[in-house]
Amino acid sequence: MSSSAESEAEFIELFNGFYAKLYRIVWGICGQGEAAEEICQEAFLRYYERRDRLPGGDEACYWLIRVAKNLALNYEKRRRRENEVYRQYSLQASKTVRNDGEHEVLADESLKAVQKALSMVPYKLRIVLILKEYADYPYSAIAKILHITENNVKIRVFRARQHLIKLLSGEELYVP
Amino acid sequence: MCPDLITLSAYFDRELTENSFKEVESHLKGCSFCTNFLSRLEIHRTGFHADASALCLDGGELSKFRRCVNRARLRRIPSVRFVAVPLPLAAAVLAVLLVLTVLNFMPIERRFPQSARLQRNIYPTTVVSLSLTPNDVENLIHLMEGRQGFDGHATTYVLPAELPVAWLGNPQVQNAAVHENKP
Ligand SMILES: [Zn+2]
Repeated sequence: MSSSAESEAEFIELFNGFYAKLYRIVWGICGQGEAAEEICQEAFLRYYERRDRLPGGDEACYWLIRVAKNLALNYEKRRRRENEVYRQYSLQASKTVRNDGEHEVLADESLKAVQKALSMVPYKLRIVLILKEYADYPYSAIAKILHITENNVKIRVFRARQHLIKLLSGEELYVP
Repeated sequence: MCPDLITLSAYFDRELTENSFKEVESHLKGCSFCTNFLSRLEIHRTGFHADASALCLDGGELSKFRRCVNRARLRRIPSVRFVAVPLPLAAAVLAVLLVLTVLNFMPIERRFPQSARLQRNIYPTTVVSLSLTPNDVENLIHLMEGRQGFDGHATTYVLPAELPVAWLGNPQVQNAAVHENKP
């Protein structure tokens, strides 16, 4: 088999084996199926075009996650800017109807509410929890992906959970 | 004493060393606060997993990706751009084109004075057959010399009816044939 056919076959193996996981991660960040698909395709395209110079195996997956999470973050920022006016308006409207509407929704620890609450966790903490919960990566892998220490991962995962509990139950946790 | 919440969170993720893991596990048997915290995390995890399992991929991702690659390749083909041509060069090209156009409409003799023009209006050759005996020729010459019926200028001769002359072709062609056969 020629080297280009070999690299093509390796790429297809990577694509088929990792697409679903990457999709879950990106979806966890931006919460939009269509956008998540676009972002995954774009990340794989970037990898495909540079695959001769990029690592394979786990490192290839980490590279894809880094690219996809940056794309997803940019997408999210853009979307937030676009929705700012609308959000301001809808928040005001819900306040006039129900004084504590926002809190009521979040005080419910139902499955739907978890995703909504996660989107409100600061990005630096959220991405760590997403890699843990949606992709089931161990702390060591998350540390490699994000270029931080394992201890930092442990702390960020906890802080993200702390935010979630507060958003979902309104409860403050004692942090040592 | 309860382990700190960061350790509990790491315990939940099975990221503790074996010893620490066992310590926490034995503590949990008698502490409702810690078990309550962990059950919270469990609820969240169930929520995440339910979210993730609701995501369905249609299996056409690879073929969609191939289309993406093709589109990207097309994008990389440089588009046709306007080429900057210096003004003198553009003017020269225009002048050459103009001259060529004018020449095209000029009669060929003016373009190439040495060339010969072939005449197209040539009459087709016609065979004129005269079956005259030497006696008849004698008579004819005699007749013309005697100016019988000859008006001095016209080329019309009144020939005797009995003269065995056979003309082939129509009169116009016959006329042309006579012209052609002139020395
Ligand atoms: Zn305890």
